[in-house]
Amino acid sequence: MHTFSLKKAESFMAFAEGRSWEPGWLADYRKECWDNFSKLSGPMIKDERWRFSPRSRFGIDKIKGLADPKLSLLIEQHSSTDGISLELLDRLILDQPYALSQLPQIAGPDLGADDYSLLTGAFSETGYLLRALPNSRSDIPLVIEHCEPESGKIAFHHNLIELEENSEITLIEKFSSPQSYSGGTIANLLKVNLGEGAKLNRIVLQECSENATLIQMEHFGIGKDACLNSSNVHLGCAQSRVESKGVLKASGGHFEYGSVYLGDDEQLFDQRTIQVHEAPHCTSNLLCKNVLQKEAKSIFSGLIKVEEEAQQTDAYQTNRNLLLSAEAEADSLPGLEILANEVKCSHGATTSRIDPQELFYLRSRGVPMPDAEKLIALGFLRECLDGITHEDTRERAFQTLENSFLK
Amino acid sequence: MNSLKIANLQASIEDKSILHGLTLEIPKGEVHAIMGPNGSGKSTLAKVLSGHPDYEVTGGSADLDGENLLGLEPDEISKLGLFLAFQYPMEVPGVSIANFIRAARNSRLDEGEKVKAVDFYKELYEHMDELGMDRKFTSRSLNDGFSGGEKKRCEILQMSMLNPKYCILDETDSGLDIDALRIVSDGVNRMRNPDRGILVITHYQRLLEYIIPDFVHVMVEGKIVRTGGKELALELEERGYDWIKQEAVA
Ligand SMILES: Nc1ncnc2c1ncn2[C@@H]1O[C@H](COP(=O)(O)OP(=O)(O)OP(=O)(O)O)[C@@H](O)[C@H]1O
Ligand SMILES: [Mg+2]
Repeated sequence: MHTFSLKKAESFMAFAEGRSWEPGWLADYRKECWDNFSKLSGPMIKDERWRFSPRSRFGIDKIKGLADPKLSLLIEQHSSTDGISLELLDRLILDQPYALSQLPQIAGPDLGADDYSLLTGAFSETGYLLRALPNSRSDIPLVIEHCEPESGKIAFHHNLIELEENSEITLIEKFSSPQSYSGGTIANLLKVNLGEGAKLNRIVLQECSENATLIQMEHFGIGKDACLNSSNVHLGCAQSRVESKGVLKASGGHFEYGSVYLGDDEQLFDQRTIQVHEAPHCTSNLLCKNVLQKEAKSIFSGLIKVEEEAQQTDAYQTNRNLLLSAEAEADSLPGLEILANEVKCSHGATTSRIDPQELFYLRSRGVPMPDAEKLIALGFLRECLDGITHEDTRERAFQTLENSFLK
Repeated sequence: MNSLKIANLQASIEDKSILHGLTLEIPKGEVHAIMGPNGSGKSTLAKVLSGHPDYEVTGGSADLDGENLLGLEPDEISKLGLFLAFQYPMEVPGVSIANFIRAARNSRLDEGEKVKAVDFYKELYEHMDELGMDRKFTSRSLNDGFSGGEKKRCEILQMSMLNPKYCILDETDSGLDIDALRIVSDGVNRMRNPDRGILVITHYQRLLEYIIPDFVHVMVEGKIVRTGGKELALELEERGYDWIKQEAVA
């Protein structure tokens, strides 16, 4: 018996043989992904998409096996609304083997983690499919839980969201460690297609163990007058790489993305974003705030790209970092690439420390030092959560953040 | 024992000496006022007493009911019972007034204890009503985008919620319109009682018509140079500070 490695052809072959019951299109897709993965030349010395990142921390060598797909992805809250379905892929493949044949067309964000994106195609055994028919609306948030596998294992999730005209959904995606595993990896590939006038409110709450690794690859395609609102709270993981691409494909589209990250110890948060304006009269707004304690490190690299046809674009991108210790480090690479001439675009990045005068003000009311710092840091992050329109969820997200700070 | 007692206090900032041996005692139950020209060190005195880390105390003493304040952390001083209403309150984005005051109240309780939310809000709303503050303010970020007058009301709200033994009000009247001046003064007068000492720093005699002081002190170049009754404020309003400065030099 050979030892499993994501890099070994025999590991992939053994995996594929074990899934000979799958439809042919899926087997072909896996094979194609695997072949493309094996053709990747190892990490290039100078890959701009990995600038500032200690890439070895995301290395695939440490992975010794695949997670149990039955345990790694759970639906916590199904839809009870007609026209809205939320299903797991492993079930779907059995029940409707051809329903998913568009899966191979799912492209990742293409922001650097090509290896994980291809490996997800080759090895994923689960994922979710969320579909909404025209004009359907869920009145309660749907809830998905991505579970950290045991140490050394990886869970590949391949997900697809398709919202048709004027449908609206709130989706909460939790990343956590319900079995109290520590040291597992989750690679999560998500493609979202929003039809005309569709609206997706998505809230990500990431509370994996302090030894976990997360590779999040998300690609949002936003149609005419459609709106994506994504709020992300990242608390756990030794290292996380989040790649997000929002593409405004037709006029009137809106992309709203907020993320907060609270880093402690030696946590690493590596975030890459791109807002692509392909069509005129679209807006996008991205706000990423990081609070870093001890030796935590964050990297933010974001690009606003406005194509020639995308006149009357409004696009904003902001990264703000608050350092609570001398050792914490934040790198920021904001960028603009504008080919249209009638646009309003701005980007900005700042890294600061707590203002000693603010601190004195809070302390002068009796609030002791660590609590005063905490209040200021939470206040700093709060703005990002204000974008969560669902009130209970907003409070829950804030509570989670507050509790994590207390530990 | 029952006083805020400052003796021969000397303090400097960035090697610039500001307080040059200031002596002042505020017994419980009394209201004292300090007036004095710009830059004479009034705010410095208030901040030094509150434990501001930028100032260096180079001599003298300051005791609250017999306990030494100098060298204590700002939060310890607050818990001993000193409250400073700032001349320029800081804006703290994202921290709501309610959460902030609640944190301040919790810090006065034993480890692990917390104020009950229902009781807390009831009390907070009562004080806000008295100060004519809209309840919407509770969820607004502390002083963030507040008008000058709103900031000052927010200071008085904090003061009334924290129940201090000694209050220092640093130019709380500046920036207030006539109605607000009366509302804020009423708020201070409600806090006036035999167990509390109050020090108001002001440039305007008018405030002292609302908050009638027992004593008025004049501060020039880091020292108290004259002390009198409330009529001294009127005299200063008429004559300015020059005559006092000259007498002080002489
Ligand atoms: N950080 C600093 N560095 C140097 N000098 C300072 C600093 N802060 C204050 N000072 C100086 O200390 C002196 C006293 O200032 P303070 O604010 O105490 O005066 P004040 O009496 O409150 O004046 P006002 O009536 O204008 O409020 C001033 O000359 C001021 O310029
Ligand atoms: Mg002053």
